[in-house]
Amino acid sequence: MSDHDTPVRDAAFYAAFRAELQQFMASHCPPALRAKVRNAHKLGRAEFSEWQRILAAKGWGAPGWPVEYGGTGWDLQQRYIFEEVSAALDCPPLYHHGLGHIGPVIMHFGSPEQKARFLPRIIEGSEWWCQGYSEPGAGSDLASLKTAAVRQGDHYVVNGQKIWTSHAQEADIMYTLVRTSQEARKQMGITLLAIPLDTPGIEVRPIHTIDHWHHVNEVFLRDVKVPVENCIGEEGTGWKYGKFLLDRERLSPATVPRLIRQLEEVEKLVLKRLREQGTTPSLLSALERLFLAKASAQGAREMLLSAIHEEILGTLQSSKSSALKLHSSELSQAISSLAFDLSAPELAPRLLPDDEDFPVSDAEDRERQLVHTYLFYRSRSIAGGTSEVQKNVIARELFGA
Amino acid sequence: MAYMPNPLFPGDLHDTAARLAASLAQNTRGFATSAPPAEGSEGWRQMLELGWQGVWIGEADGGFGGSFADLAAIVEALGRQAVVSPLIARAGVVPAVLGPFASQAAVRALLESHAAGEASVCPVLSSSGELPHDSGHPASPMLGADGRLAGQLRGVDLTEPASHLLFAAQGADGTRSLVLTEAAPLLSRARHYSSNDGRRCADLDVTGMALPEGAVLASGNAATQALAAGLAAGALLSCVEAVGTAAGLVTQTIDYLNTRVQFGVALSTFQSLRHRLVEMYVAYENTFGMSRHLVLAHSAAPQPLKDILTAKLYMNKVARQVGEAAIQLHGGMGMTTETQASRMAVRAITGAFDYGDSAQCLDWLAAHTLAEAA
Repeated sequence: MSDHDTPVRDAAFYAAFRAELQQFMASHCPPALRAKVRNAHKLGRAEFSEWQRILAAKGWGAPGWPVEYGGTGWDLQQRYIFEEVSAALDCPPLYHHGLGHIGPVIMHFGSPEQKARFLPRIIEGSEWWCQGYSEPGAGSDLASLKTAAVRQGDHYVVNGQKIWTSHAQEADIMYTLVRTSQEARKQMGITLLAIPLDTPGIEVRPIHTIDHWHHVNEVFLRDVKVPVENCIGEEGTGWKYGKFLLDRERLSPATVPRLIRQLEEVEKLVLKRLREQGTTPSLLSALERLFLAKASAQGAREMLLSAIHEEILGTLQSSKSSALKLHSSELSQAISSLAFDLSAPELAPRLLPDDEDFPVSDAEDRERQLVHTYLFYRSRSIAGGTSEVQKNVIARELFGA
Repeated sequence: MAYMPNPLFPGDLHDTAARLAASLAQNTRGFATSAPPAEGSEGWRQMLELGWQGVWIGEADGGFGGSFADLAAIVEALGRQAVVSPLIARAGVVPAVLGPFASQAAVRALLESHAAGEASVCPVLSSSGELPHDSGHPASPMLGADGRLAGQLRGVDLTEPASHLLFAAQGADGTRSLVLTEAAPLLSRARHYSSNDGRRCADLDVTGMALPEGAVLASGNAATQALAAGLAAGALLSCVEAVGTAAGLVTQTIDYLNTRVQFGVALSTFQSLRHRLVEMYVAYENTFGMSRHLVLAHSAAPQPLKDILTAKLYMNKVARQVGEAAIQLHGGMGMTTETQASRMAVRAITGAFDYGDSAQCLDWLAAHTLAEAA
């Protein structure tokens, strides 16, 4: 997985590595930022990029990247430790669209000019990317996308609509799958373009979601002129890059450590209620859900570690990575659902204060965010491949057809 | 290519146990409902010859000196075919409970012959008192000052012959004692049963029985700690067995759905059936990781009972889920004892009551957590 020679590394090496990360993160991640993460606030560009700049200054701006592109050259085990320490200390997660998604695609398929133009700014956190993949008629069936790019001289002219575009409201560039020709197979004739979002003809409209947070948007493209040099890789082979990206991202080392951290906070909440209210039957039922989630989270952690191990050996089957995605989605929903049951009776009716400056206690702030989080987490089993699609992937492998 | 689940702990022990389990499964039809031969079943005699009762007994005490994970490798492989045997009790619980008393010459000698398969100590942990017990029956027999017992030993697993019994008895002042004694005198007033999953169990009326000298190994704290260690080993191995049975159920259900034709097509072409199988598989993978982690940790150092019972509580839920799904996905065949998968499903569902059923685990964990939170 990593692009450099990994020396033989022992437990002491990784323990020292972990200690170094802990020391740095604890002392360099601003307390206000950590409080936001701990209280499960919605994070945007301001929060992500603040932390990204600090990591970049340390030389840790791209933990998954090879050294030649400005990355740390860490192996998967180190990547995982980075995520564990980061989650345990409530540091913001890495912003995945640049570091996890388009960066590696540019590294593998981009021109030297594109690498020089785009990669350093991803590491610095100075340029922000979003993903233009889904369309109203192309969700799980992505290859049915219709947004068209027509070559006119040294430009493409792009027309169409993207949907579910997270962070488009605060991004600079959208990496976008467009159709450049009609072929017999719908996976053919797709091209990957980097489209600057300040180009005339682009309109970003927020989609109002049930969690009352602003993540996703519709992006309308009307006669948008995109320079030909913004075509990443070869014209017509964009599906390959999209798939490369998804394959790379099938193992997300961040999900499980974050989930374990959230569980710790929910446990504190349950225990606090028990101290306040005594052992009511409903709180005992909450305790049962907590115990089950804890055992299951331990299992999920082992699933991830074993998948990382198999990925290093090159033997990881898609049934396993899909099982991990499926299970983590459901478990994170179970955890947020438990928190919701504790917080929502009090805070669902008071979710959005008119007076945002009205002082609230830390505890109230946290519980309010748990209401947002529960609703937001319904998307865990939808985004990035629905649970039903994951089940199809797993079944194909288990049944051999 | 047919799906092949990975062993929990690959190696010779797993392979040997898998071969034995396969040959036993081939010769099994339905659940056993009659008394086993006095010398033990063919499969059990092979396990004793292989020295499996002594896998987790130290070499100094005449055992094989293997780790807890070595024993788990065997238990998981047997679990894949849901082999009916008291191996967890006798190879896992017995060393955990008796280990601390191996400095007593009689205990050491007994451990040695237990490891050699000449003796077989049967633990009755349902009487340990470690877990809350709400069946309405007293948890353990009483032990009078005169050295006589009163009450019953309930749910003694006598699927295979036992030379000795190991159980807790309670004094008038509530002090728990750990008792090790020859089985034969206590078996005279036994009521025998066949369990729902092919085991042979007995309730022993021990009222008036006089314990021979030296039968009480320990009392008070030492007894309690030993019994808790036995419970921990039993609960964790029970998780391991259930992981094995889940692996077997996933594999057998895939085979069945790929083979059985309805409406002119294989059942495995129906999405609802495929998805339910996937749910079994994902639950299996999850508990595989959970159990493996805990077994390795327990091999290195005894793990807190809290962590083990948390895992057991979750495993119980998954075992029920996987067992019920396997029965459902086998349709009518899932209801017959002829079908191995059905017997395995029943074992998975029933095994969830061993060494901490869901109510016991939950009550213990809740009490423990509340005490910590206070």
